Amino acid sequence: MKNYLLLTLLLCLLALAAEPLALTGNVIPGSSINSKGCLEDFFMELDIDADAVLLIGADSTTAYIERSALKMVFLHPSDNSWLAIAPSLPPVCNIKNLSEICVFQSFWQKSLTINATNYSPFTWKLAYLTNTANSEKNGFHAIKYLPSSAKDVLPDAQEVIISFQDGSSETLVFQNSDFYFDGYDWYYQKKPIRKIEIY
Amino acid sequence: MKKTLIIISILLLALPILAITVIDKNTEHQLDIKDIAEAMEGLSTEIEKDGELQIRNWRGIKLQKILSIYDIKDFSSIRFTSADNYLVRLSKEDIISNDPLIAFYEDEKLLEGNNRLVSQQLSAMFWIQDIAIISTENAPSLSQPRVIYFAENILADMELITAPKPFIKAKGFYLRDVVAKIMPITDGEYQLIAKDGTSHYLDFAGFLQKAVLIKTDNGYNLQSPQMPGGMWIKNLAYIQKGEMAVIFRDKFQNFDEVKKLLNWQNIPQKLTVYTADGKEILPAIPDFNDEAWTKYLKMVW
Repeated sequence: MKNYLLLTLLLCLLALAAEPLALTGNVIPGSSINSKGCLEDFFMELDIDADAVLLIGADSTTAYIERSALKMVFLHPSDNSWLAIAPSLPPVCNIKNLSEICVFQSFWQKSLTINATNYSPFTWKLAYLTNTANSEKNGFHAIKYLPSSAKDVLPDAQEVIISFQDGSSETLVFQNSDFYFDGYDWYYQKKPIRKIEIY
Repeated sequence: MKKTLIIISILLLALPILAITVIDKNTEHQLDIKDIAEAMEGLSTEIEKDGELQIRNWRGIKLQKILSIYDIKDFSSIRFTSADNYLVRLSKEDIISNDPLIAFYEDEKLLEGNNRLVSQQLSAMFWIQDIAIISTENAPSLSQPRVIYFAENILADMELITAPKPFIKAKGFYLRDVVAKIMPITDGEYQLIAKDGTSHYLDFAGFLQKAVLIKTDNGYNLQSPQMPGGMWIKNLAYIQKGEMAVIFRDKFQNFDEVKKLLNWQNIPQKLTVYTADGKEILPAIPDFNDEAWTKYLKMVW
């Protein structure tokens, strides 16, 4: 009976525990943070050389900070969500329901080229955000972003040549509904892509 | 009566100067002839050109006088923008030490470009003409960078473009392609410094989006169709945005020279350097002519 109660308690605790915090952007797919601690330390453990991050809240409010501020961000799982606690940084960096951390590492090999413009996963994420405020505290800078109004990758029905990751390419009529970005890579009709050129 | 008519005539002749707007924070002032007429004064500049001493006599109003008229005190720099988008910045220290004049007359004749900033001490590239806007800035001073890249190492992996638009007789790299490799955000304000110390603080969207690093025998010049030719930067030595900086290594012998040009407080005693194979810590910092620098993609201070 005692064992049964302990097992039930353990299952309840597990059910309440926060899901791992996803790291997206210029990182290896599936990277995540599982326990509380300092963001800079996690990056060191995971061998991630981040020059900047986007702390993204569940309501899409986003804070951009650079390398020197990473040691000032503490992550804490709480009530099935994650808290970003950063009392030394501008207030926008304190996020109650953190959903994702998008990471910038320079010279990232994965990219999507649309005509002449190159995007890394991080810059793709950023392209869909709008800078709403710059702030500074204790010499640390932060930028607050909010989602841009929804915009299509390309106008629907545009004839394009899509180059896929496997080296193949296809001329087709572009449909935004067939395009997908999973935080690390871009897909068209579920196949990873590298380049879109307007035909 | 005759005297009054002469004064009115002079005032009417001086009307073009009313085109200057002074912006301090959220307040705009239209520079008014009535406010400045009595404060006009002369200034002579002497410049040696082709072995000859050129003496030029100007008349106008000291910038510091304009600032005092509108009680403008709280700023770190003043930005001058001409009608054709030329841009010059002077720090508060530069303004105090060089005491520039906004001239409206040369040899008592109205200037063709309406006005011109002149100063004996400031080089001619600061003598901006036809100023349309004088605005105060309280830009955060750039701190020393945390992440450093060498331009030569970035450019080595990029294809040199022949005739980069619109500079059809040149070879170079689009600045946007260079910064996209290393900067998390390309938009924003960049500090660009030439080897001679000339410093520009420029907005990417307004001035640098279409800029090209033109390859020359001496290094790279920065030219942009978004900037008047007089603003183009010869012998680019340094670019910084936020905590990230790009150093043109061949413009310096070592970090001491970088520190001197940029007025850094100190120089790295220890650097974490990144190569294609991983990272290592450099316990001592060699001069820039050391072969080892060519393999470092990135350095973290």
